[in-house]
Amino acid sequence: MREPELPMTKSALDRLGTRLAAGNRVSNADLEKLAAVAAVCQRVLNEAKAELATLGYQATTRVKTTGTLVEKLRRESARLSQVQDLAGARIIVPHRPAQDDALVKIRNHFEASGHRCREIDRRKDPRYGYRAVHLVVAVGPILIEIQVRTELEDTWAQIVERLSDRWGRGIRYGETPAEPDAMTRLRAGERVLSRREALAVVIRLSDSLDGFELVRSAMLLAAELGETFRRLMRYAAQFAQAQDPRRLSELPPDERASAEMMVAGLELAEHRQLPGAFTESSEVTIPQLVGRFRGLLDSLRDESAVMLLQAHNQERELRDTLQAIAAAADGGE
Amino acid sequence: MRHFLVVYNRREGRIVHKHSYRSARSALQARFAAEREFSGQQDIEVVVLGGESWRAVQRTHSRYFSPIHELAKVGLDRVTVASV
Repeated sequence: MREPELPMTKSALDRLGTRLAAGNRVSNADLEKLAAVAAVCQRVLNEAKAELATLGYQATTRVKTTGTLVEKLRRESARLSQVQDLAGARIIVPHRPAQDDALVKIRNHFEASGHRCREIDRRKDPRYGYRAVHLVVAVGPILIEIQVRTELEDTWAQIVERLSDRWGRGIRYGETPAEPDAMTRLRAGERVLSRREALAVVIRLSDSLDGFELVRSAMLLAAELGETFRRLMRYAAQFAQAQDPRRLSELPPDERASAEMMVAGLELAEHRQLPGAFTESSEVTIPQLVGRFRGLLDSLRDESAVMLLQAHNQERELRDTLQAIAAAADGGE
Repeated sequence: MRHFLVVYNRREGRIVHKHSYRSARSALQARFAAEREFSGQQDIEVVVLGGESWRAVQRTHSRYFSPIHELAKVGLDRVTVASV
């Protein structure tokens, strides 16, 4: 990506930020200056979007709105040149494993072309329920914040954004809603909840969604491993049928290749920290290898059953909360 | 890629104006013109979203386009272990 030039010096930009934060209304002259900065940000975002498309991600972009920029400058006493989400891109992926893959791919891509990247993982460290991963990429003097959200993280964030339009933008930063005791249309059983109580339900929803994402990731991983193991079972069956007592080191190269695929499968299990972990040794015999392999498949099957039960329980809980929100009118009010 | 101007009334939860532009420059000019027009109106948010289509920006910025009960319904469709 080409290095952009700011339309003013960094200190002039920071002075603009100070004036924006201080005034009640933004002057036309400052709005012109901000428009020039926004134009540079948009050019960089257009290029970043094209780069992301080469990786298979359809991002959308936005240059921060004047209102939210002013709010941020006031709230955080930040310098305008240091605001990392002035230029923002967003990608939504189906689930946690896809999110992890996207982050690795995007980071590698931008770092390979010499751009410094910083990852902010709000899954481990949520902000008042907000979860996502943000990758801040430095393109010369412009920082781009690429938000990588799962579909569920995004659903939660959009609900809270919409709520904050009515209950006060501060709820996104842990503030109490405006008129906290006002009744909403959100119910817990027969009881109607106040704004304060409804917000607590929404914050808890984020934790439940996160738990669900984790179990679903583990299930996806188990399904992926299961698929690999089903293929490898073919080799295990061949060896088991022959009741071959040889050690790996005694196998001729063509047979060794098949056995080594099983070893690779077991090592993959070790890498994923699954029970039945295995470390290769050429002294292991074929029956031992087949035995370990079958043991791993069994434990994988047991784990999958437990995870499925766990996921279904979490799914039910989540659906109840989301259904209650869906049943209430907009804003739960 | 297209650029979509959205003028949104937060309190009313509705889009008061929207327009699609081929050029980022035109969209940004329209954004700052709208900011001047609605200057001082705290409930009005003016944004330009860049994406392949209206559908793409509606997916990633659904809060401008859908009320909460619809967002929750979309969430319900997303909470499933059946696809695993």
